[in-house]
Amino acid sequence: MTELLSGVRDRFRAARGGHLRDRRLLALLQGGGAPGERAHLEGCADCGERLAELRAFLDGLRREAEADCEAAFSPARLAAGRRQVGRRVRRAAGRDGARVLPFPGPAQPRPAVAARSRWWLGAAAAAGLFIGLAVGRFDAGLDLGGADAPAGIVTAGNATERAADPESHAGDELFLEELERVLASPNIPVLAPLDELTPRLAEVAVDVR
Amino acid sequence: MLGAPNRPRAPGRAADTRLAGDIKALLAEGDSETACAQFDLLVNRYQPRAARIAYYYLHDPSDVDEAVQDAFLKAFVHLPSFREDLCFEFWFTRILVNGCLDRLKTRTRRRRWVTPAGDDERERAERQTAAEPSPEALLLQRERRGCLAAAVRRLPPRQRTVVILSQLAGYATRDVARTMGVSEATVRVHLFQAVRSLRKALGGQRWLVEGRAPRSDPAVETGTR
Repeated sequence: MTELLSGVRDRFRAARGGHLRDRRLLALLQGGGAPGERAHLEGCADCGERLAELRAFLDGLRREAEADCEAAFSPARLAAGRRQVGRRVRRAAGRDGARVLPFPGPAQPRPAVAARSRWWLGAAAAAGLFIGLAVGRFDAGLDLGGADAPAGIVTAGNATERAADPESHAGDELFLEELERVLASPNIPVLAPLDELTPRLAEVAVDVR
Repeated sequence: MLGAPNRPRAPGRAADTRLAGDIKALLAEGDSETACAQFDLLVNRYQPRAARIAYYYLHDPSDVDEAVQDAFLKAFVHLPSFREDLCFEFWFTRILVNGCLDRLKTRTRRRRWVTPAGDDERERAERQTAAEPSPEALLLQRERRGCLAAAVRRLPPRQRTVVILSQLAGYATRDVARTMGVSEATVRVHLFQAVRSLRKALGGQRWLVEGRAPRSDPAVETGTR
């Protein structure tokens, strides 16, 4: 709407003898324009000069752009591009005999024979589980001497028994002393202050007892 | 003679549209071999212009090659949905321009995260392959074209499309309007704003108007388009 009003105003101005605006000059260059505007151009040197400037600018724009494009695209490059388009089009149309790898789809259902032969897998798993449980129970009975505590699980009862065993206690103390000795002599001087702040395992063990 | 050497003739367009319709029919009949051969004719006819349009958008010959190939492939794949009452050239140009704009968006997004490296060097190396008179002339030419490309690139997308199709690819205002799916008045408004911006950006570049013709009879000038 604004364009329309502006065009009407410009044409009115041209009809009155006023100079044409750039918008109208461009429209004239594009093949538009009213007869009154063309008549104005015939007699107005100023508008003619501006029109020539605008034309020269657009010509220069096109000339430089075309030269740039021609430098970038040699005939050989364009021919190679056409061949590539032809190849891709024939591939799309399925005319080049190219091998097409199928896109991975959902898994196909297995044949019935595989389903029938699967029963022994379940049986083998059940047998393995039974044998494993039996061996584990037998092994736990040998190590702990208890019937209810499985191997590797320390209950309150057997922990008390182990703590009360003087031989095992001496072995543990020996191990902790060795650990303390190693920890008491840090090899990295920078970590020495941090080591000083850390509570000793022996102190913790004494507190617990 | 603004744009006259590049402007395609209407009878050629009508014949190409008929050819596109024939290819569509061939594809419907399952004769894809003949359809491909016929489509090659369209490729031969439109590829140089398509490369030029894509180059004004992308300014990277490798990107342009891909964009043009993709546009032709897309046109071929979608030919079964092509309506013969439309002009094949405008239909194809729209596919091409949309593809270029998509590539520009992707490039902008990528550059937001990845620092480009070596683009200038690669461009320089490619330009060096062309036979140029002297390093100074080459430098000057590169500077001019860089200025021009940057000024066009800074235009808003619609104005840029109008300038590229109208001034650089040589389409008439009516054809630009049909390609973009807007009215001719809208095209004129965008073109005026774009030219004003370009003159502001390139106003100091005397080389643009160095080769201007001497002033002649205005009545003759106005009749050129």
